[in-house]
Amino acid sequence: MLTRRDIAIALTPAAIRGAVMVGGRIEKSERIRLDNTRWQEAWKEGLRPLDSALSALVQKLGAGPGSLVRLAYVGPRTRVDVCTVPARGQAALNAACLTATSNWPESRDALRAMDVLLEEPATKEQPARSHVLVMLEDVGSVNVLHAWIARAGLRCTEIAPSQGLAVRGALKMARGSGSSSPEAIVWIGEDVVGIVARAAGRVEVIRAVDLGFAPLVDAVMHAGAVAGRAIGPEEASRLLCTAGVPYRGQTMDAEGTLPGSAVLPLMQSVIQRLVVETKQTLRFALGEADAVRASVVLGGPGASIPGLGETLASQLDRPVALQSESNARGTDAIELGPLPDLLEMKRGTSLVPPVEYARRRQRGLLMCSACGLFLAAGLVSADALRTSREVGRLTAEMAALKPQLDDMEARATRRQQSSMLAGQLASLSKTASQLAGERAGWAAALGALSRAPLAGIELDDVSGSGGRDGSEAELVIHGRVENPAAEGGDVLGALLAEFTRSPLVDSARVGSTRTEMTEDGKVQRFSLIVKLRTLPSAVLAQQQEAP
Amino acid sequence: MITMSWHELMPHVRRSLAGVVALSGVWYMVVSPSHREVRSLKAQVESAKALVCEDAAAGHDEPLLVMDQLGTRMDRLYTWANASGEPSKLYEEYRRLAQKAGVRVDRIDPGSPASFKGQAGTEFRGESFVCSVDITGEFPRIVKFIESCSRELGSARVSSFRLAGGTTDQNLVAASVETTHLRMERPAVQANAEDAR
Repeated sequence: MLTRRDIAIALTPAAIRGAVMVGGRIEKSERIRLDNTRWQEAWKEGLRPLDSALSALVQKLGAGPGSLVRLAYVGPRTRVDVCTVPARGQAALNAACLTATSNWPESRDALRAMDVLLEEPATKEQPARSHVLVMLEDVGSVNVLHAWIARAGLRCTEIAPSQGLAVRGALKMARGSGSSSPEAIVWIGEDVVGIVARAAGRVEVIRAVDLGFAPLVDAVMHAGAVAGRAIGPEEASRLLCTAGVPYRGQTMDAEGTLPGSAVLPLMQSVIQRLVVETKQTLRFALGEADAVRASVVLGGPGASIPGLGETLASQLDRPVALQSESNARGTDAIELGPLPDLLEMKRGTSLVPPVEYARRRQRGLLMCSACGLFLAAGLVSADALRTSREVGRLTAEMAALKPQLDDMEARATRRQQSSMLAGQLASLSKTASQLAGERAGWAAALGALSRAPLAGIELDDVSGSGGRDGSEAELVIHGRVENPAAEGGDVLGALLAEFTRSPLVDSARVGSTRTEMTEDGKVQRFSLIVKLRTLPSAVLAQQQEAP
Repeated sequence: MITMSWHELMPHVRRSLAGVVALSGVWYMVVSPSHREVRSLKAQVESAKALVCEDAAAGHDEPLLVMDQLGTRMDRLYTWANASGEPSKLYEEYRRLAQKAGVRVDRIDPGSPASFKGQAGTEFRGESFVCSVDITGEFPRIVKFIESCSRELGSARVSSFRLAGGTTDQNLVAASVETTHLRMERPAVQANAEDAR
């Protein structure tokens, strides 16, 4: 079943290699051999002749449509260089960009990818510097590669020139080497060689050379053809991995049909060029003394070819060591080609197809919009939540205050009713007092009358009246004095005096008096008017109210 | 350098604007009323707190107690005012007073009641009537009877009297006493207030 996976594909003139990557490791790898004689033609046709090979590879890998692909390739117009600039960080990138465009003015409109491979601190003799990998590729070539991958139903996310991988491979070896003596590290790929020259622990030069072990495979095939034996690329590759660079008298195959003497001359030009490139690198990069005593370390897939190291050592006149990892990889290294290095490559340090770049930007914009909207929705939700909590809190607070407010309201109502009651009470008291009128101390006045000296006085009539509202209380006494002369003294005066002594009496006077002659003698008739002090009924009412 | 054209940006801008408008709408429809509610509730809570603080600072008077006291005073006042307001009970009262004073009641004649109104703005209504009582007894007892009428019949007032007969204690005196009586009705509002208490 085809599933969407992360795929690494390497396109070289000799083969298309593919690997399924899981957790940063190669889970499965496949290789489809190509006829390298049709390489230029394939590029001219937009790699369409390689469509079937790629489809077959994808099928073998079991990669489903839409799987993401990192592509390593060998391109016809690729420019890769490592610029060593006396700067660091972004300044180093800018300086490297400037150098690259001045070196290759025709690549001004090319797609560009840069990566700071190594930053070296300043020493007493040299300033700080950076080695910047600059990769320039024609936009058309990148589009061809992208379209080629897309036709297979995959999506190409990154495109890495093989030269860049070779340079990274060589530098990785240089970093891994703890040697402080001068040395040249030669990373041999299928079609590219990366060379690093180092002295006193500092990298002096990093360069990529369009050379590799592929011509050695071709040499085996050609030698077979010359010897009358058809050797295919697979077999040639296998023979190279097992027999390596032959010496005279050695046969490369078990049957003995392919003598080393037939293969070696065809390999010699390739080996010679490798020697020249290595020597030139040492000569131009290191000082004279360092160049003489510099050793060589071989690495990369090509380093696992048996006898290559010894051959190079004899031609370079200096020791050539093999990287231990190369020995361990052996045939696998040649089978996998640049795939392991492609796997190790940092993301974002290679070329990105314009279509992919636009897609990423579209996606970025979409993500930004979505994030913005999500954030806004989050803010709205947070606001809603906060407001809802605030409403709840305030409602609870209000509910907590409600009993107190109810109590206050009830007390206010009662206070109002009290006030009303007080008003009514005052009004009632006043009304009742007014209606009840004023009161006279009738009993006190009559008591005074009973205490008065009444000898010789006969009372005919005693009446009391309070007037309309009781405020004009008046006691009227009618009586007579028989024979007043015989009584001696003023009996009426004494009676009046008794009244006026009472505090409840306002005034007492003789209303009228007249003397009549009767058969028994003189009779003095009189009327006394006693005005009484009155008290308002309210006083009594208050006495009644008092608890 | 690859740049993005306005044409490429437009869909994103349109989508974002639509999203912003939709979210704004949601906010306005859903969240905004809650904000208004919060503002309103805050104002209510602040106001309530201020009232409670003000109330606490003012101290808790007890209107219920005041109402009780006022009601009691009102009751007593009504009791005082209406103590002799019922003509039917008046006979009994006069006989009681006469017995207490030691006089004889010869005649009791309650007059026709006349209704009255309280002051403007009050709802006090009631009736007043005059009652004539003829009694016979010794002078001091007559005096005691008159005194009792003034003191023990609430708002009743001795409006006039007339004594005729002997002036000495040994002689019986006939007296005619006129008293004025009130009968007040309780207004409805007051009854409600009393219910409240």
